[in-house]
Amino acid sequence: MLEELKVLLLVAIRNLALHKVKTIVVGGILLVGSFLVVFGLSLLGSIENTMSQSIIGSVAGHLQVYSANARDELALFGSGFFGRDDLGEIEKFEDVKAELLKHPNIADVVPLGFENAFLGRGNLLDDLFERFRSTVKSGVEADTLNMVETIKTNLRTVRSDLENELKISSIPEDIKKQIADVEEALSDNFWMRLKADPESVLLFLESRIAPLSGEKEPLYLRYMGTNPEQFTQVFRKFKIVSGENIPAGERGILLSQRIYETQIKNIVARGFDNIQKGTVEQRKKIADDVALRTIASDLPKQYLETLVYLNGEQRKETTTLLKEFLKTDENDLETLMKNFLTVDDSNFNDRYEFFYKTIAPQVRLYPFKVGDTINLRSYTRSGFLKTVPLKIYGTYQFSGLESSDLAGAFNFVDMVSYRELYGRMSSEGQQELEALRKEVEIKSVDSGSLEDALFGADAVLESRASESNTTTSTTTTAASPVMEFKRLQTGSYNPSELNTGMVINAAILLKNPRLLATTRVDLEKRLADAKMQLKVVDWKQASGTLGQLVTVIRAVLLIAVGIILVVAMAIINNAIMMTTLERTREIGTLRAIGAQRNFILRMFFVETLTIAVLATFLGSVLAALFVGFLGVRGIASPSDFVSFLFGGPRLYPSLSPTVALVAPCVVALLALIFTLYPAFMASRIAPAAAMQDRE
Amino acid sequence: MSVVLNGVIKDYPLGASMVRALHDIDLTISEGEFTTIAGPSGCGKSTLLNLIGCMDVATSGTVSIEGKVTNALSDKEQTQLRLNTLGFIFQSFNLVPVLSVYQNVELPLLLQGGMTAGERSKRISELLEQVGLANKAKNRSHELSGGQRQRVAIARALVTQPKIVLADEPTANLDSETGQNIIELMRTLNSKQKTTFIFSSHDPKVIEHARRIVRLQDGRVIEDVRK
Repeated sequence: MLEELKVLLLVAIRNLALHKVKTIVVGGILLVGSFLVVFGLSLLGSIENTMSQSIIGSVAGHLQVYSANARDELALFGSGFFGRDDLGEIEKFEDVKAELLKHPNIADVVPLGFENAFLGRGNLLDDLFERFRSTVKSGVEADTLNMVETIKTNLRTVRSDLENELKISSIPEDIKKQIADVEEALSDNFWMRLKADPESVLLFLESRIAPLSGEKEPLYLRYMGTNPEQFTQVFRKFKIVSGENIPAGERGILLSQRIYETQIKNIVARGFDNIQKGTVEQRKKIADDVALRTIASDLPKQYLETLVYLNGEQRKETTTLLKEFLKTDENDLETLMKNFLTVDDSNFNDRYEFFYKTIAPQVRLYPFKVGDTINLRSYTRSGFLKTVPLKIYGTYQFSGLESSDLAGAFNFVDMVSYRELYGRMSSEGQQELEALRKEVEIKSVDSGSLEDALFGADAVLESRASESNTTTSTTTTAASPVMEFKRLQTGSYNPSELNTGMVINAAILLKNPRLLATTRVDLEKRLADAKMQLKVVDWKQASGTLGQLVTVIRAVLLIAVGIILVVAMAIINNAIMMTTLERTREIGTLRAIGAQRNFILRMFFVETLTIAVLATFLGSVLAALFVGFLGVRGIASPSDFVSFLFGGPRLYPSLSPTVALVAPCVVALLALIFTLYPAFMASRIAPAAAMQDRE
Repeated sequence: MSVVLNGVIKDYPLGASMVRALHDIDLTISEGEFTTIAGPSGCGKSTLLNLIGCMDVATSGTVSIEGKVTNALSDKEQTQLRLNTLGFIFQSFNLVPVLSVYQNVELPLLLQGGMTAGERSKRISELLEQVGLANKAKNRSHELSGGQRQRVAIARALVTQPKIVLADEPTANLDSETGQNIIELMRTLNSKQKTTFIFSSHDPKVIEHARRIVRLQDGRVIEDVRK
């Protein structure tokens, strides 16, 4: 047997050497196939690993728990559909947490809830007039005069814009009125009233002139309510960049550094930042890249964003500096600034430097900064607009994911403010409301029993105050739907409220993540036994479409590799068929001198196996070396999105030993399967074929 | 009797019709005979050898080898018969190109199994000695002359010590002197080992070496003479 195998192997090796083209084609295909499978799956495995770290380490935790009554599925990073997800509510977080912590594998449970809010950003003139109001109030005459000049300059720009608009407008009468208003604001008579009646001047500017510069788009912010201190301790990637964490018991917001830089920062500065990133970090050319070209062409149109903040002196100084920088005799600052902001590949670097050195210090780079209070506006569950003032305590980012929009998608607020924006009242507020109700003898009734309550017997009208602890239910029968709630002061609360009461979902951190699947099943059972209608999902499911991404990529890769392999195998099959035909006489001779059919079959299998084992393992070794090389050098993330998947700006892939061993075996096995038919055909060659095809 | 053919007919399809290659052949070849099947090209020599060599099946009639009717045997049994009872020498030598002289001769023994490497080596060495190729054992077939290749083929045919050796035009691809030498070698081996040799040829010089001449024409035996 061993001797026969030796001969088979010898025949195989000699035949492989004899039919070089076939050997190279078959071996090459098997090598590439094995390389692709090992490299692809190792890369994917590494991405899955880094991505899971990104998702688990930022907001998801290992598991997430939320209401079983949710109409939508939890999608922390977006479900891919617009609109507001209905995730139900976890009424008493403290009970759920206590139940979950009974499981030995649970390290911690963090309360969460996310929602969208927006910040009105006013317009350029709003900002200017707001500052003017405070300057007037301060009573420093020099400053006031300086600002008057700035306002006049801006008004001239508005007038020129309106005059241009007048030429193409279909409603010239309106525009003419607006121009007349601007003319009035530019007249000396108007400004002479400032001393005697400052309020009328300010009101005219704020109500008649400010709207003319157009409203800026509101800023949409996704915010996540949580227990800030606990969150920082549990999610180790979380890092405060500036300021401090929201102290327990205080209302506040932590802005995402990413959002702060890419959405809140002055638009001209952002334009410079983006072009700088594209040209320096990504080595793109403005001329070649559509996105960079668009940013560059928008820059000159945004010139006002850099001038509106300048007073008279600063305007003069900037004019001189720009004239010198641009080496021009032009005296008009607007034109100079437009020219300055017209950037291309040849002048960008110098202008970027000049902008940050000279222009930026005079510009308000951020409309609000750490320490300021912003009014976060959000629609409550029942559709009322709710405004909550929140102090910006700081900015944060996730380590390694600084440039990722996904990881920086959230701004964190304390859970108490979250509940308020959601439409729940704090316990303090509820007590206050109760007192008010008693005082004015209001009884709360839901809309279904309204008729009975108003017109039925007294017995029906019973107090439901204890059940109605939301602002929405207290107002549905009394207030109009456009009613807006606005609390004017930020305030403190009892820190224990962070971990008690309503939350939307909660992140569960495990002691041993390897037991994730079994823990998830255990927890679902435990919660069901405790009559808590909650579902527990793993991080992959919780992250929405993103979590499925790797599964999808893997499926696509496997299908692609599958197709490649099937085509490759068809080629291999064909190549072996061709050599079978060439070797008809040799096979006939073997049959004639007494070789059984299965000897011929074995001969073909040994041949395929020899080349397959050599080629696939060589392919696997090459893939391993390549993965090893990339593991040291890293693969640069081509985009901010991919950097989230990579868990940072570079992916350092690692080889999966199982894949490196199993993949070549699978490819070799496939090759053997595809050798079956030609081998079978060869075994059917009649011994009389030995007499044919004479030399 | 070594080989017995009874009323053997062989038809081949040719397009839509059938062509009769052999007509009602009755032939008996005894053990140790040195027989040639002679006749011009297309007379049915190769067909007859194929039937005797279990490489083809008669349309009617029977072919018996060492008392076994080959028509009734399965493919596996026929192969066994070829391996253990028959030896083949082909016109084009048909050596396995990728194997050495030694390995080519060894191949049938490996297919048979049951012998140790030492036993095989001893037998192969003796045979190579007999065919005059003792010093070429390690050579590959393309390094040998035509005559040398045919000697290897003879050694391969004899290595299993078959009862019958079939040779289809064994000298056709050789010059006449080499051809004569090969026939001489076959005759010597036949005398020494009492192996039955049946070979086809159309070369009168070769034919005259045979002790029995079976002459075919148009698929019929027209002459059967023993010297």
